[in-house]
Amino acid sequence: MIPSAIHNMLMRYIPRCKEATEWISHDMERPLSLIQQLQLRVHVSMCLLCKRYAQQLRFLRRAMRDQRRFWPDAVLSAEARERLIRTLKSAS
Amino acid sequence: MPKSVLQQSATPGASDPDTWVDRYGDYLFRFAMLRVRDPGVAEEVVQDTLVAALQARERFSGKSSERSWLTGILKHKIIDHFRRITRERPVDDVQPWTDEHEELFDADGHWRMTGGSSPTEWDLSPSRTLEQKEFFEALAQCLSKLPRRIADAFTLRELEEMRTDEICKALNISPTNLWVMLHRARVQLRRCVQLNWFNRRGASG
Repeated sequence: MIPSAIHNMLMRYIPRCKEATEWISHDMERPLSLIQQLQLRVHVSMCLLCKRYAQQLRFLRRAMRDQRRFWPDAVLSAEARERLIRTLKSAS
Repeated sequence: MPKSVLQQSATPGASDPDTWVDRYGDYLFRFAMLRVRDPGVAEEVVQDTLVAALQARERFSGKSSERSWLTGILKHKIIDHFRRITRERPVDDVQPWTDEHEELFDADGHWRMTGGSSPTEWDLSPSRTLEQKEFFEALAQCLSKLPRRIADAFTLRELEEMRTDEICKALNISPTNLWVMLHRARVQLRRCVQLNWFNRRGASG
C-alpha cells in the first residue's frame, strides 16, 4: 500500500481529460517523459473516454496512411490535361 | 550523332516529355490531391513539376524510376506551396482556441457529456471503416473542414510521415507550434468523424 501522502501527491498530478488529450497527441510525436507516461497511463486506466480517445487517434493515423483509398477517382479533367500538354510544349 | 539522341538512349527509363502527361498526369494529380485537397492547386503543382522536370531532365540519372523522380520534384513543389500559404497567413491558425476547448471540456477539464462530442464507442472493424469508400469520403470531408494551415501540417505529418524537424523546416514554424497544430487537428478531426460517420452508424455512447 502506498502511503496516503504519496498517493495524494501522485493523484494531484494525474492529468485531467483536457490535458490528457494533449499528452496523448504529443506522445505520438515524441515520447513523453517517464513520469508523464505513468501519469497518463493512470488517467487512461481510469477514464474510459480518454481510453477511447487514444484508440481513436491511433485508428485515424492508420486511416490517414491508407492512402490508396483517398480520392480514388481523382484524375485530371480533359481540360486540365490539355492545359498541361500545352504548357509543357511551350516550355520546351 | 546529335548529342540529344545519345543522351535519351543513354538514360534508362527516360521517356519523351511529350508523353509525360499521358503517362504520369493522373498519378501525379492524385498524389497532389491527397495532399493539397484542391483540384486547382493540384493541377498547378503538377504543372510546376512537369515544367521543372523538363528543364532538369538531363539530371535524371535513371537510378530511380522516372515516376519516382517526378514524384520527388512534386513533393518539393507541394512544400513550396505550403510555405507560400504560411507566409500569406502567418498567424491565424495558431491562436488560442478557447471556444472549441470550452465546448469539449468543462471547467474541471473533464469531457462534457452533452453535445455528442465526447468519445463514443466506435466500431473499428475494417469492413465497416477502412474497406468502405464512403468512410474515406467522410474522412476527406472532415479534413477539408480543418483550418488550412492546420490541415497542411497534419497532412505532412500523417500522409508524408515527415518528422517534426522536417515539417518545422518546411513550414517555418517551431516544434511547439507544430504540436499544438497537430493536437488541434486531431481533436477536430476525431470529433468530425465521430459526428459524421460513427454516430450515424450505431456507435454506442
